[in-house]
Amino acid sequence: MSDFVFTRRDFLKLVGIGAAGAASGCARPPADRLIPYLIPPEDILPGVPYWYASTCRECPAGCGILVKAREGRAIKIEGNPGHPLNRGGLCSRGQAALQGLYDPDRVRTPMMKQAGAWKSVTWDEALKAAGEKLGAAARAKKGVAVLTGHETGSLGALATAFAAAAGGTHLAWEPFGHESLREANRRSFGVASVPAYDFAKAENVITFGADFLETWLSPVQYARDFATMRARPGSYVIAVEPRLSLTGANADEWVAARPGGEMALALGMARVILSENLGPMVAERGALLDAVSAFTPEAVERDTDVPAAQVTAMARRFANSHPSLAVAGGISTQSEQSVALLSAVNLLNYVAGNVGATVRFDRTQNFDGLASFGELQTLIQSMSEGKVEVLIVHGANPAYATPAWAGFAAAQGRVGFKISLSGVLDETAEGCDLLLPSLHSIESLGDAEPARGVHAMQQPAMQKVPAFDARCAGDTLLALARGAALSGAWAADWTSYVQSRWKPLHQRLGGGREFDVFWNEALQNGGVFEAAAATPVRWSGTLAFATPQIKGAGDLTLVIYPSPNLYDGRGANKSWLQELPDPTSKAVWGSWAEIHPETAKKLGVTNGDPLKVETEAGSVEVPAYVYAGVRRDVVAIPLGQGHSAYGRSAKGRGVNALELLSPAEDGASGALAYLGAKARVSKGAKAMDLVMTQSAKDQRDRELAQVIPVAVLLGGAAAGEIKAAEAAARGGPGTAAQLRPGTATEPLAHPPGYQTPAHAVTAYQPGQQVRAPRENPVASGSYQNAKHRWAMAIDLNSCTGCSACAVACMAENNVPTVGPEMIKRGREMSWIRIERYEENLAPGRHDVRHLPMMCQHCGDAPCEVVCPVYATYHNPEGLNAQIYNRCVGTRYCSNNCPYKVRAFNWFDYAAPEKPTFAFPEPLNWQLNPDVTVRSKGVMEKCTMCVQRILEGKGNAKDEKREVRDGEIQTACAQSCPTEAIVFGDLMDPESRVSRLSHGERRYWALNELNTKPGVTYLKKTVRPESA
Amino acid sequence: MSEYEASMTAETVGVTEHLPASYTQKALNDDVFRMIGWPGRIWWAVFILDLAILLTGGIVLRNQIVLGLGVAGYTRPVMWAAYITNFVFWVGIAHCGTLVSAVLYLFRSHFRRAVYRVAEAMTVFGVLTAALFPLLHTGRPWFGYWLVPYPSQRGLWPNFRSPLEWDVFAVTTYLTISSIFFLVGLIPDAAVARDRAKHPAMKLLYQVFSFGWIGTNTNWKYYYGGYIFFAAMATPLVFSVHSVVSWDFAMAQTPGWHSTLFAPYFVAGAIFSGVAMVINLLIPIRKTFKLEHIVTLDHMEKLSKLVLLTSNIVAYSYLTEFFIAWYGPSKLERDLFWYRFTGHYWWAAWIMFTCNALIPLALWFKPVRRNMLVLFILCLFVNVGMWFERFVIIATSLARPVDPAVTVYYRMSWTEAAITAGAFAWFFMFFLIFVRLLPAFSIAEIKETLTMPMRRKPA
Repeated sequence: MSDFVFTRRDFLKLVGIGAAGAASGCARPPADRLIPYLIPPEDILPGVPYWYASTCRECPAGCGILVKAREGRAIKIEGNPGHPLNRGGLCSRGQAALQGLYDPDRVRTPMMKQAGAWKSVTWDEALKAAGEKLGAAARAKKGVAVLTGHETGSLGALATAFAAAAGGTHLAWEPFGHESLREANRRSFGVASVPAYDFAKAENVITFGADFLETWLSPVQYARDFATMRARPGSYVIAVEPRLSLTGANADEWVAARPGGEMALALGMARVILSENLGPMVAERGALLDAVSAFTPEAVERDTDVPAAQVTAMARRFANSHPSLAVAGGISTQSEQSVALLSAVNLLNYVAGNVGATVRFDRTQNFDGLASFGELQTLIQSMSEGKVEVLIVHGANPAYATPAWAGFAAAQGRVGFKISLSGVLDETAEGCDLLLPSLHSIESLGDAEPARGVHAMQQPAMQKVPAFDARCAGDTLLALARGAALSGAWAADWTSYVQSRWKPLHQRLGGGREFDVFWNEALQNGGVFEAAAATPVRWSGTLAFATPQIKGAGDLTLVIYPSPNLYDGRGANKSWLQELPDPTSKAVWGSWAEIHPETAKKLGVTNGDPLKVETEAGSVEVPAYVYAGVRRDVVAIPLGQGHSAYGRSAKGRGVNALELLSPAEDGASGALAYLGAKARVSKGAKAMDLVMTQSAKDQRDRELAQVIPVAVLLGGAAAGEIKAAEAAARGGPGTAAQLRPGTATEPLAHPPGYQTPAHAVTAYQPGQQVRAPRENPVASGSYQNAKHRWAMAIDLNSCTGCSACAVACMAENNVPTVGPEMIKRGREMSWIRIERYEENLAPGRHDVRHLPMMCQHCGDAPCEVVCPVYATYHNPEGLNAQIYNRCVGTRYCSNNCPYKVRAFNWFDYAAPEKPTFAFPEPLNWQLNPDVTVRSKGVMEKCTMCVQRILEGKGNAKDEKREVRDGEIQTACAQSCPTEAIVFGDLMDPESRVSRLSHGERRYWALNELNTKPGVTYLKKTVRPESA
Repeated sequence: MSEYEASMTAETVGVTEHLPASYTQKALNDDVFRMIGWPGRIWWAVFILDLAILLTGGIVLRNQIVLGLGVAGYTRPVMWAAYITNFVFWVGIAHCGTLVSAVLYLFRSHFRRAVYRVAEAMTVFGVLTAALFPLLHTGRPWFGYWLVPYPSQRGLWPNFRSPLEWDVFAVTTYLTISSIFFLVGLIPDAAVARDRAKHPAMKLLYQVFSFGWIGTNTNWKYYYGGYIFFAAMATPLVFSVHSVVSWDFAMAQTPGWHSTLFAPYFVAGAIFSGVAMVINLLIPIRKTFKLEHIVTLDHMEKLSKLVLLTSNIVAYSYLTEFFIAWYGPSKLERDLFWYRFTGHYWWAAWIMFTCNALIPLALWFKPVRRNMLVLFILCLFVNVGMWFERFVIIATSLARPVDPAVTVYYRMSWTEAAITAGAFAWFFMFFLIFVRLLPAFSIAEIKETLTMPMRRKPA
């Protein structure tokens, strides 16, 4: 630049050009909405994202999150890699919290019910009214009840203090409160806690209906551990459940025990272990053996339909794998005898020596303060007796999440004055008199202790959304306390209250630092994490075993299970979750009932036909989903739909399966019995839709999702063994078509004596020699100078099908949701889908494969040649780029795409004036400013998050270095709880994606079409049956 | 008289002299020009009905442009359906005109004289109809001009590897050549019309069409020279245009499309449907205007033989496709063809096969070929069958994608139905105006078959 001379002539030329440009008016009229930074805030740089560590409040698991804020708006949530629980992954529900924050149906002002209709009031008016009622009730000791959700931090403490001061009670209640688990542990081990389950260490896992990859306790944490376990070729997972859940689909074997028979099976296994003396020495052996003596394999077979030989085999494998792990307590198996089942599983873990190894009472899940359903019923009882004058509800929706027989709604009507602190008008809030809207967790300060030693911080990632005049729930409670003149010293505001609660923690863990430093560090890291010492436990079992009765008329047992997307129903108001295909049925936006093909044939129904499910308590009509993954005597319905309020996405969709429950609960723990009703099923009358994104789960020999027997992979095994392993995998119980190992399952030719390392089945092979990166197909002309070939490796062995990636993609890339009518017509816009292929669904060694499918960024892309205007082309770095503003919309690219991963903008989803607008205010605040919102008539598809690639390259350039492997992550790869998706650069031979792409399990989807995909899949492994 | 003319008259006198000897040139003029003039009530009724349908289609199209293509029945994976079916259908229809006028002209098949003007008009209007669809099926039709290679300062060119780009050239070339051919053939007849016209406006109109024709020897010399030149130029287009259209499919790797058979198969199919359409147009015209002596049964029979021939080629192609799918190595292809005749759209495939391969077999029988009512109905079947052929090729192949996870069946929406009907109305609007405005039969060429009045011996 030193010899650059800017002459007077050049200057005049430039001035002239500039003036001419301005005068000719070639510039378009400026956008009418600009960021109004007249006086820019000091800490916000336009275009630079800020990340705030916080805690996810979408379920009790309490994963650590990082909230990405751009220009002061939260636009994306990712898992916090530094958090001890989820370690960077995040499930679909957690990522969808953003849609709760920007929910257009959030309550905008405090509201008071007058003559049955809601009327906006000011905060002063509302607080005054509430304070008067509350004060009067407290003074007259007429009963005040505070009902909250799972609050393990300051808010729970404040609510308790508040209730005490008002002379009332505080109940923290969760629909999935796992009361039985705590009660069973109290009975077995003397500790009423939910232990830390170590799936990572276990060699053999048996789940008795615990959906640990979906909703059970801490699914993201367990998914991560599960992937670690699956990386070991010897690990083996058995799912004992009447309905094959997503967790079951990821198991190696499905044992379809009779509903309610799980306990007998667990005890039968324990009996085998005890009688054959397979486990470690236990002092109580004699007593225990006596207790389970009735559960001989033959008796178990009678009670559970599981062959006696299989019971024995399962027990032997369980005891001989060190360590093993049995888990139970899923909602779908929660019956009147769930404590008995959980005690039996505790016994099984105990006799196999797992307690202290994989079942530990160190970092226990914090469900400790939760009220049971029975306690909630006591409250309902006093409410209906008129003993409660003021009810304050926050973070709980019992009017929806309890069955009608519990009578919450009716009892609510008997309460003199009901105050809801809900931010949305859910069913419970609708029944209240006063609504004091609370801020969303992303806007407000808070804390939590989701597990022992995990002191998590919930940090506001943005100012409150201006459209909503809400206040922090803590502040509201404090204001109510002051307004009602409740006795006690109330903190000036919520922040100081939380800080005062962190003072003791500071003293213990501060290490001599100032409190402010400690506090800020906690905010930065998302909390303070300390190691938790294990509580020593010993068997204190009082054994009382009883099998639950399935009551009522009908041939089928009703199984109600939590929806992996909607949890107990709290996700139903988020269109991302509604439009996220259910991992099992691939249905969206509604309910369905799963029945076995034989049942369906008998009834003469097919997929989507109306089905009437009747129990003694009631009946519902839902579309049928014919699913070979349920027992013949079972009809299964997911929870989560059937809302009568709760916003536009939730209201009036599907049915609430709780309506089918008769009064039943587990007397021992007070848990609601979800299992225990018989159902009659008949053909329904109403025509209805079952909207599925993938109706056929058969891959028609296309070998898209491939598997490989572990024995083949481990190379060094003799050819005969491999053959035997393959034959065993093919010819197990079930059909001959059970296993289609794909085209390339021939054992690799290894030099004599070569021993494939055991970790060849893992996703990461640190020491392995790799070949040069796969040839960059476009390496001519200017493309020769490309420095990168971006690519992906997807490990089908780790992919559980949880679909977190799909929500991450929607959030990152501004993908609109289109609603059920459009999905029915095949117009889903999602850039990534999890294809589910059910090769064999018979009980036994079933074969379900999940295949994440997105743009394969082919080296020789069929879409590129056919586009007449180069709207899709190959960029030098191997990306198959889509240029939205060049697209004319011929859709030829989609027709020629064998993977069918291109989505077309059939309507104007981005235009506010159109009826198809997909981002109603303020949902559009969530849009990622780095990504174009596509207009009508253009094609779109996965870009491999090109905006993140550019960001990563930009950062590297700023720091004058090369891009580091792993530095750039696509949204899907980042969110994946099992790290099944790996993104990186194929030109870097040391990169993780290069190693994986040259690994022994690699294959390319539809390789015979020679599209040279940039996405390499790694085959799922099939484990040998015998241990 | 050119050498060509001489050879023609010498060879064919007495063979194609189908008009009665007493038929004078004036009578021919009167017969043909009876069609031209202020139309009667029936024509107006038909025309207004036609415009109403066209208007409906137009309104629906406006709706589609404003709201988005989502109002059509498209799904993923079926991202082409009725519109592209219509496109290929009308391009196919458009093929017959050039075949009849150019190819048969070169081959000296003189029966063409009586039918070629109608066929040529049909060609031009058919291409005009076909050209609508590539545009209106796109997501952003207002950017359709991006497919035209024009220099821009951004240096952006269309992708010359894309079959859709080839289409742009194929269709525009065909439209140009077939229009020129149509207008050139019209010159002597337009001159007659000009001389007969009374209204000054009509006179002016025909003056334009007649290009100042005065009927001199020089006029005739250059006219015939030019005509054969254009015939020679148009002939390859008969084969090229529909081959290129077929490559829209054959160049893709989608099973059911990816086939080397497509070019000849599509060309035969195009001629098949085009000739059937000509028959469907001619039969009502000769009946309504009482022109059975000009377009004789012999002529119609020859056309129907052409239908029979092309039907057999098309049927052979169907069987070949099926055989190759079975015989070939591709699982995907085999699966697709089985699906095509047994899967979700089995009825469409069987309509196609019945209408195109089985029903035309009746044309082996002479009475069928010479019974105008039966022939008319048969050709209607052929046109329905050929529409479905394109639908089957496009929609069923897409509905069975390689990735089985994406399967949502296509159902035609009211939007597409209205626009399809509108396209027919668009075609018939041109055609209805044509028959009342321009000589629908080549007076000049038919006159060649008449006995020269001067050579008649005095009685």
